[in-house]
Amino acid sequence: MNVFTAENFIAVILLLPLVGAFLCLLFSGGRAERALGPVFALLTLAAVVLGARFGGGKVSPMLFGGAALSFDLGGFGMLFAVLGAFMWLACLLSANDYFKTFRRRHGYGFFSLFTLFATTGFFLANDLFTAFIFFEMMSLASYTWVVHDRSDFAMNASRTYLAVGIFGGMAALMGLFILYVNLGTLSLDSITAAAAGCENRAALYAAGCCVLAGFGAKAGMFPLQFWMPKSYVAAPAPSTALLSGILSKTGVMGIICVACKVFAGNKAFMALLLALAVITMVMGAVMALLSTDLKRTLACSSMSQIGFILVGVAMMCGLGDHGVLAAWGVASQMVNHSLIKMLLFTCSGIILCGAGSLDLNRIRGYGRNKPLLLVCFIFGALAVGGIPGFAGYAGKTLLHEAIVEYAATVTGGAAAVITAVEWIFLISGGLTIAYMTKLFVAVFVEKGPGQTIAKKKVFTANSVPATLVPAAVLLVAGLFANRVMGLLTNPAAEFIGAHGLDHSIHFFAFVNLKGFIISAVVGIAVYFGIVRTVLSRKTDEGRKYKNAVPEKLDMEELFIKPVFGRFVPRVLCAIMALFGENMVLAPLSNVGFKFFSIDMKVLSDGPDAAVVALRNTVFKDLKEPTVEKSRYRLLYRMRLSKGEECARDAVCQAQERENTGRKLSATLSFSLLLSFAGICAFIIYIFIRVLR
Amino acid sequence: MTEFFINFPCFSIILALLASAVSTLLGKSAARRLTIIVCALIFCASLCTLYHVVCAGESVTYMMGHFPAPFGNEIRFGIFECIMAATFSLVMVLCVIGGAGSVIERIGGFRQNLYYIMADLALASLLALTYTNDIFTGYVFVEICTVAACGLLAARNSGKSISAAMRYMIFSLIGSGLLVLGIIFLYGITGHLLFPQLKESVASLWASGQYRIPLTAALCLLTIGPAIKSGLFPFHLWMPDTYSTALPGSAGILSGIISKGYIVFMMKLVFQVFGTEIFFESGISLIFLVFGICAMIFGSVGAIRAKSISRMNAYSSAAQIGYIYMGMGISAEIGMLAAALHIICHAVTKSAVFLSSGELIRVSGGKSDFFSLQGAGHRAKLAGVVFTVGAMSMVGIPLTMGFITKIYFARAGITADGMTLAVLLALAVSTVLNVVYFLKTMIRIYTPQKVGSQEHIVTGAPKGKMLAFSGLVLTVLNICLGLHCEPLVQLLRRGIEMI
Repeated sequence: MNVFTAENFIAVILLLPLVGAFLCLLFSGGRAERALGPVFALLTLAAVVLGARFGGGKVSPMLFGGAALSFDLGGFGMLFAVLGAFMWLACLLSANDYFKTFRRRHGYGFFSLFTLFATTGFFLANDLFTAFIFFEMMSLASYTWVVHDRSDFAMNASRTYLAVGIFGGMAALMGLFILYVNLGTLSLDSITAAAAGCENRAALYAAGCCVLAGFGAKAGMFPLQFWMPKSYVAAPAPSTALLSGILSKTGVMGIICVACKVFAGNKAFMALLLALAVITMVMGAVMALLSTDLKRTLACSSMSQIGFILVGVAMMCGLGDHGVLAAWGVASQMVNHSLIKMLLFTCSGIILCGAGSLDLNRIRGYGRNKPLLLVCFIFGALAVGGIPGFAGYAGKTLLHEAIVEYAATVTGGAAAVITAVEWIFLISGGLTIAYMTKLFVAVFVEKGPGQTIAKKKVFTANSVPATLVPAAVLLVAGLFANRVMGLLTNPAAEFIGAHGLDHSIHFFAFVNLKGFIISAVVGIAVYFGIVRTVLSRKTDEGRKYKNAVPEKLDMEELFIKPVFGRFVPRVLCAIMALFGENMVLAPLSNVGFKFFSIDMKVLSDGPDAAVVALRNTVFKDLKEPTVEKSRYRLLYRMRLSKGEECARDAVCQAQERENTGRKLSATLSFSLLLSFAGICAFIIYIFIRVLR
Repeated sequence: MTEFFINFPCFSIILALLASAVSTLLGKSAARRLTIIVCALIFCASLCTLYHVVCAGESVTYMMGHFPAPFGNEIRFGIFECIMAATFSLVMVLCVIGGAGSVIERIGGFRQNLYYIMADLALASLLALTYTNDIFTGYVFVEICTVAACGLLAARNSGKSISAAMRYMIFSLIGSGLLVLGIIFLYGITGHLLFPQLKESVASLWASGQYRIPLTAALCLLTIGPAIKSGLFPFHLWMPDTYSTALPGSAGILSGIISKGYIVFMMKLVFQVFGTEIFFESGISLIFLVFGICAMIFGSVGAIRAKSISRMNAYSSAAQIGYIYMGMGISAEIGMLAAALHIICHAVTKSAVFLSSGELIRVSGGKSDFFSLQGAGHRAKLAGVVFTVGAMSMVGIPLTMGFITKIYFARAGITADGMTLAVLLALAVSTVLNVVYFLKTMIRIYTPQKVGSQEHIVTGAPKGKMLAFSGLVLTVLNICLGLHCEPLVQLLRRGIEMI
């Protein structure tokens, strides 16, 4: 009997992190937990690699509900499962160092390994339903990373993270329902054919937009990127590396599935995706350039890099089965970005542990005379900047070539647009170089207050392999791009069913270097023309960086919360007020008012609703809520136009009503009344139906 | 050889009744041992009967007292009945073992054997409800079950638990009152009490249109009665008080199996008396579907708003009952299969959750509010793990039984005409709500206690061994079924065809 079957491998791969998670729970808080995390991540990595080597194939293991879930061991997702397990190993190792300085919360090991379980399951999934189940588990388990710090900032960020996770998940689920009802399948093997033969295009587009919103929220795609910088800054550095390196890739993976399996070759969907991707790419780069916080810059950089990848995905979508170059570019850039962000966020963690701050003005010069830190950071910076000789260069070159290839297939106005996209792509690459130079110069070159910070040994045997291995991989992959690329990217081409490429790519040919040169020129120009003149000034204590982004410029505060928290309810208020003025409708609207105010409370608290429960119990506020912040704040605001006294009275009445209601609903009479209402409804309905 | 096994269902009922009678004469620990042995024996007997029925491939009608139909009393069992009986007796024995510690602690010495009398009676009536082929026998045991359940609830002898037991009694009596009215109507128009004859008469009356109004009324009453007793949505408000004041073992028994006993009885009525066509044609199925979905949502919202873990568990039970009724309302084949699977899943999971949260409360100084529970998972490690696995199963995380049933509900939902989207959405929303309250509890019990609040330390010596045994068995069973559920599903599928 052959035990090396795909079914057994899947079982082992998914059970290992779960077992580890529960062991962490049992031994939480001790030395054992610190060792268990990396050990089980390593075991998972070994299992995944062995599975990829010996047990390829598609299965629906009995272990996971028979035909309910299906997995594909081998192929595109497998690549990321391997990468994910490796990243987890590295991050859990460096977390042991990080949590020597900062507090390690109980359950960190449990939730981390549980997230690994969910993420691996997601990447190995062979149908969208399986993918969704693991995606949701991942979203919810990773919430604990963002909330880890328990500070006000972290609470706020985690609330947004959870709300986006839940609403994004619900949107994706809705989309999947619509897809399933129209296509009859969600399996990645058959969905392309089913989508091609689908009559109901409107439903297909609706479903596509829902799924795009759901997965795009996780990837950090505009306009659903607002949670990203905050959450990345709030989470502990090792977790941020995973959030940026792997979890955002799950979103990209979901988008790839929709774009290349359901909408392959569809111009309209491609245009939508391309537009959003370009905005994400530019916006992230500009925000990164303006920021003066190391970790925030890296977070915005993640957003921008996701934009680069999504441009590639749009090209894959547009080119259909000719998109082999785009597929290679996307795959290699996804892997590169994971490794790069692993390096850079680990560096930020080390700096935070050592210097206690991430503000560029305070840590200026901290990196001087720290060779190991320098090596790690510079490898990451060079790779993300796309400097020839590093892996990032190969990825960006492939993406650039894909854009050029696509430009050749279109004519007229579309060609002009694509050329514009090509230039924006190169300029964004320049911006990347500019902000990485800014970080590098500030931390490692300039003299400043950071130099005087006492030296502290943060780097130990734990972090060294976690940072040096990715650095080495990035270098090797960059130098021998052709060979490594083939190993890495063939599954990507197979995934979209693309034709092979008839010629090999000369990464260091002049045509390809030209793109880099343009980016480099833009980057140098921006650095010297803007960063050193507008964004910073020389003072007696050296260069000072200005935070050009006002604190208040926050899309969530400026747009999302006002619109869904205030504007929509106010429009409803206005409509109601209109009816209220009307003498004829006044009695009616008074009745309606009571019901309506409940509705609007639900609406205004919509994004908070899922979190309110957590806030009220787990993270209880000790302060007595004021009227303005009570559950009836909407009612308060609505009545404010009639004077504050009146508004307060209204809130008091509402609270009293609620208390009475609560007491009432606990009585026997109420429960009996409800039952009798139920019985009456039951009998009346049945009689009406039967006798008619 | 296996022919002899057909006597076992009858013997089991009589054995449980006898045990309750004998227990009055025994001391407290002897009564407990007797109950455990009897429940275990009945579990083995149910498995033997199951084996016979599976081999024979058809259900068995067993005549009691040698009076042939239509005068005598019959029991009838197929695969479905045997699996349910096995589940009930297994969960009962584990709840009795796991709840023993709290019974010793909370119930005064000489009355302890009364508790076990009630447990025996409850098991006897559950078995009778499962096996019966006679509607009046069913009613008699429904009443016995009510009395036994009230006894289990009021055993604690605190003011709150007695008033909760009274509340349960009132609801139960309304339920059984409606049930007996329904039986009277049905007997009045058909003249039969045995299921097969009843089914024939009901089908011919329905087809001819004669006695349409009394027949409809009878159908309504016969379904509302058990629905009230099992706590379907608008009738669920007895649950929070009842389960939160009961002993952990009693709560496990009540929520895990007694409320399921009525549902099994109702499923038998649907298949063996109304016939599935009338059930779906009359619209009762639609009401079950709607009430079930409401229960899923309102139960979960109630659980989120609850301020203590025991009330949260109680509201969560209300939500889970909703799942079962929703499944019954969808279709006669896969919907019923999902409902039957969920009966087993909830029996196994919820009893583990109640037992483990009892232990978590005990190590938190007997307080069940979430603030006191902080860090309870560290004080009682095993109970914490049992609770976590139970919670994951209730949410529907893969590798637990809860996931399998969710999948079957979703599959059933896809086949539901016109209600597909409603069912799937309800499943999605209720899953998210489940996550919210179970995740918050998990985080709470694993958040270490704040320094300086040392009043919630362990009081009393640990009585963990028996509890640990049942908690572990239930958890392992849950995970095993989650890992490999296919044989059980196949058996139940055959069982439902056989009813």
